[in-house]
Amino acid sequence: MTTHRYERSSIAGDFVRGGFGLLVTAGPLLFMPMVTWLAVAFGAFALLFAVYLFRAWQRSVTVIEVDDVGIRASGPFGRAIRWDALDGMQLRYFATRRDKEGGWMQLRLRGGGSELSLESTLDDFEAVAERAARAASGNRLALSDTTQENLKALGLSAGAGVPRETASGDDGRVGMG
Amino acid sequence: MLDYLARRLLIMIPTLIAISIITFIIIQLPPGDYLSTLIAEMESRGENVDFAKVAALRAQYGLDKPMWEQYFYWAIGFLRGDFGYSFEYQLPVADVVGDRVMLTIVLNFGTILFIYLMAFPIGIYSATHQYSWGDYSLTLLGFIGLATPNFLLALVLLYFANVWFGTSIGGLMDPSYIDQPWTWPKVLSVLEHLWVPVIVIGTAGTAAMIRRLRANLLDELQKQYVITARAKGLSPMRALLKYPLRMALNPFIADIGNMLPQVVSGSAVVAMVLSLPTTGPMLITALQSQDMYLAGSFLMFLAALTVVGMLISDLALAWLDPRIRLGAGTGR
Repeated sequence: MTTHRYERSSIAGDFVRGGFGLLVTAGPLLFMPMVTWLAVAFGAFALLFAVYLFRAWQRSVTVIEVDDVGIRASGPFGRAIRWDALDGMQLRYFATRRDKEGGWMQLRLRGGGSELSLESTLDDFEAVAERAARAASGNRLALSDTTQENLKALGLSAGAGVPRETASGDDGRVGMG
Repeated sequence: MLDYLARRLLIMIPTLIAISIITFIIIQLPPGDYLSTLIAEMESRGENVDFAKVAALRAQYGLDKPMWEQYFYWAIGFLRGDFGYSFEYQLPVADVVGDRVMLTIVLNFGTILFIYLMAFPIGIYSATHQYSWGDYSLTLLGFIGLATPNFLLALVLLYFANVWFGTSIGGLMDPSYIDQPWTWPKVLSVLEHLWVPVIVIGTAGTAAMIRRLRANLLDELQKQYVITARAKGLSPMRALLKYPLRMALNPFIADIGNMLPQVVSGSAVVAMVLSLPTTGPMLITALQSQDMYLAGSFLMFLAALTVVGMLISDLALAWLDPRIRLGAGTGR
């Protein structure tokens, strides 16, 4: 069994980002009179940053355990997915820069009624992605072209026997987050 | 997507603050201020200038305060819906602008809709029927659209709208509805007048989009995966819509951010020719007369449109195409 945690530097970055975002959105909302539509927008953004901060905290205390049976996230709102029950896998890449440099990946797994979302800031993320890809291959999951291309970018492949007849883009098996 | 949205917003907020600072500096850059322009005008007309009154006005409008202080009150005012005071109109900017911002948004939204509705089917047809008579004809129409000056097309359409449909010349509504409260007949009058500026402003954009969509789609259609899909028996329509069209659309989604301000600022000249009550002509006169808060508010409006447009296009791209680009690495 291997255990994985999110890197401290990335968690610290998330806290700084979330804190700054909450400060510049909730601050004016609390201390300045504001026109209604702008107050609604600032309120929505403040809520978003509050959720972002909560997720950063959740990541900081979460430990991901991977073994031959499945994958488990232990910590608040922990959940587990057995590899033989894996029925959805998405690997997506996001970058805020227009040249798409310096982005991060998000691995979303679904199975047995549970859904697990992991980011590439996780320690040894490639190993987790590789294990998930093997399970997807074993379960003959249809992976989207996007997921397959992103797996290739990590130096992995979806494995032999994986049907490719699914639509391009997201495979739709995992809900959009 | 939530992480992406949060990170993207964190880029947007400082960007807007930086733009507001730059905008404020730009509108302060010309020598003097609104009152010195007014004094020069009065002196050129041979009128007497009461300098004590001018000093009092300068103090009243806060023009004697340091620039940073003026900026601070202006920027904070935005949050309260107070965009400052128009010296020229002697009214708050919000009252001066009135319906103009809303009419500008309606006009430009209509134009963007027109561009997409016209360009997509034509571009797809041109790409899938390359070198056919239809393709040649539509390409010719596209080049005519690109080459025709907007003001000329505006005058021609105004003439025909008046002769054929009895639409009043110029404006975005019948003169009898100007400064009247909004009613259904007024809305219908706006719709009746809207099609002329929409076609005029949208023609060049439509032509450009047709050319780009055709080129992008042709590139995609010649790729190996499309040939494979067809060889495996996928119907031509499905082989077109499933992947090539989506990929060909990515540049357009990436362009939404640029399109919004381009259409708004591009419509300024047409708005003057057609006497449209939109923001363009007012921005030009505000810049000429150094009506700084009015001009600054318009510039901020354009900047906000750009930034929000970029945000929308980035979110759409992230959602539609979350692929890593070759050569781009994951930041961990």
